[in-house]
Amino acid sequence: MFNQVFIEKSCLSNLRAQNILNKLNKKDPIIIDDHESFFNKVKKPYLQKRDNLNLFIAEKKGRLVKEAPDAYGLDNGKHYYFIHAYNCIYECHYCYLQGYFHSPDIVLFVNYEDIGMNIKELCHNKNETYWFHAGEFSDSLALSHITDEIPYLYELFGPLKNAKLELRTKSANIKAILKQSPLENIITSFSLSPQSHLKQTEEKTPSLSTRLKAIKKLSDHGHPIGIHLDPIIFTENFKQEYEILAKELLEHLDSKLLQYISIGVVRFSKESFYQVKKNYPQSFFLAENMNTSFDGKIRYPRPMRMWILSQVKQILIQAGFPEEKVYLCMED
Amino acid sequence: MKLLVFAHPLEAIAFLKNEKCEALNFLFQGIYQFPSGYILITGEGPQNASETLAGFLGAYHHKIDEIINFGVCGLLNSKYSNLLHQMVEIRTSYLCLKDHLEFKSYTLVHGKNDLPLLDCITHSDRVHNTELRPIADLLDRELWSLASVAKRFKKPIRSIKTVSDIINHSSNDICEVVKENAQQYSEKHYFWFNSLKSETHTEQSSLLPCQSYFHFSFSQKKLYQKLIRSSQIKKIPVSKIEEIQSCLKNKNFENKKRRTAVLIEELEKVIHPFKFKLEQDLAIYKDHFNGLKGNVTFDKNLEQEKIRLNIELENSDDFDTLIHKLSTFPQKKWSDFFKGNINV
Repeated sequence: MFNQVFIEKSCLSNLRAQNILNKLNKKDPIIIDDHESFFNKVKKPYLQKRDNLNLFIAEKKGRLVKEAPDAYGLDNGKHYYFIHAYNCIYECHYCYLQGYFHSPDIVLFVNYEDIGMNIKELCHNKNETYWFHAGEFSDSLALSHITDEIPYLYELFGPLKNAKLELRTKSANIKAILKQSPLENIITSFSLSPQSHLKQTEEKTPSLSTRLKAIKKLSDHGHPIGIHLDPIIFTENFKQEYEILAKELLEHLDSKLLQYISIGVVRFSKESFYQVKKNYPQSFFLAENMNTSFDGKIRYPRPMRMWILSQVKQILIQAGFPEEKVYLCMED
Repeated sequence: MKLLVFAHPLEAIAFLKNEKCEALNFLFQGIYQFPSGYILITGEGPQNASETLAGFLGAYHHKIDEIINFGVCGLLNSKYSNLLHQMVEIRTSYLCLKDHLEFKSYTLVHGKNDLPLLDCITHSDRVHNTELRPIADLLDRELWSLASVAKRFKKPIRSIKTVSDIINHSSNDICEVVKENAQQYSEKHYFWFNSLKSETHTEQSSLLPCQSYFHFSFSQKKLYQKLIRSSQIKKIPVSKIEEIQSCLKNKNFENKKRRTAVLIEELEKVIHPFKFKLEQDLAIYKDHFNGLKGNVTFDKNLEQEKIRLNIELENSDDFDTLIHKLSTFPQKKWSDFFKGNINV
């Protein structure tokens, strides 16, 4: 999976770091002082993740938990994301990470206890609900069999009754979660698209049916589930495809365990859009016109995307999902 | 024509011997001409490389289609020690000036050959340690500078190197080793150059229609090409596009420009039906202001509901018309249009 593994000197004695090295069977990593001396220091082309992906095992310094942008999640409560890793093993053509970091290399942070301390400090007001999202800069579960942080997160959030944790993933890597007793405040959320879209825009991610099976397993074990139908990409027959997806989803999910379905239309920062056009010039989402929108991001024209969102919302309601559980993501 | 770039004359020796090379009378030495291109000897180091390549391209850029750099490099990553004395092709070039890592990197073009594809970092100094291993597997002294100048002149560049040594602290006398093997490396490079099959770059057909029927302004040409690109992504059959074109050829228009405008409109209809529908709806709102002297424009990105009226009011009738138009404007419907209430 990784061409070379680098480890910060300070992490050498960290048990989590040692565990990662053992699982990767990398007995002889390259020892560096600081990942920041190399990662993001030079522009490494994004597509080198295909055959020259490196791993850095490091300690996260600076701010570990950050406030999420507006319209990030459900309206109730304050939203934060925490940074457990940079970059992702999957290759999604629309992914904003290709314009965010200057390298596709993966950085895994092993100082979870520091992140946990930060989270506890933030949840000071017992009358407020605090949301914490993992997976802003990396898939939350894709590497969890190597990183082993899930038991720690369950232990951390168990007593934090006014906090909710969202583990956002495109993977079907749910073994670690299945070992835990379900907690009301830990939601595993899956990003889904119709299979034909996945096939054209995502590489190395599990198929829709595999993800649906993972949802079913978690649902059968009583774990709360979140769904992200995001990014929605316009095609001539997208309505039919989302009708099928909604139906299939309902078959795999106990709707009592469904916490929310967020829907969002494909969007790019200017830098990501430039990179996407460079890396995937034939991607089908580049066939439609997009403009600079209210927040500077590149999107479909407003009437078009609002129409798309209203159509998908309608499809979900007609399929039997409760309207109050559907919310629009990243729209003003 | 190709420009072949080397750091040292010894690296170019097989080329100079085997091609009918003649020294070119130029502002500085080290430039040779042969039937299918030029050879440039830059001298060692990034500064020599950028100065000489920029100088040469300043005068001869119009004659050069492609640049190929041949040279040697050291191996930073012993994992690839099997590549010692082997040829490699460079994928991405990085730079380290003294102790400073330059952020900018250049990804080179590369052909479909069997050479291993590796990254190379150019260093301003001769180095004998492997500290830069996290960045690249190979180390040289010129490539980044060549790539940056090539980019400035919009010329594709590729780089073929032979791994001359494995870098370690005891590799001080490496220059002598490289010199000893230079001729052998040069011959290998020349052999590779000779076997280089011209890779045909088939340009996507722009389908630009016959100029005797259509006249494209600069912006129309850009828009047309964008539409064709979208049609290719959407896999709309070429025959469909051709059918629209030939249909318009047989129709009478006041001039070629008008025919071209209609062609673009027809293509929009087929390639972007949703956008076309939005434009039709907007036209209805625009028509509402017919009878007023002036312009009505909407937010060009269709992000905001605002409407800009640039109206001339000359008499009381104009005032009355404007008041009537504003009071009867379907504001609710207009607002709903932006909420996605569209009949598609």
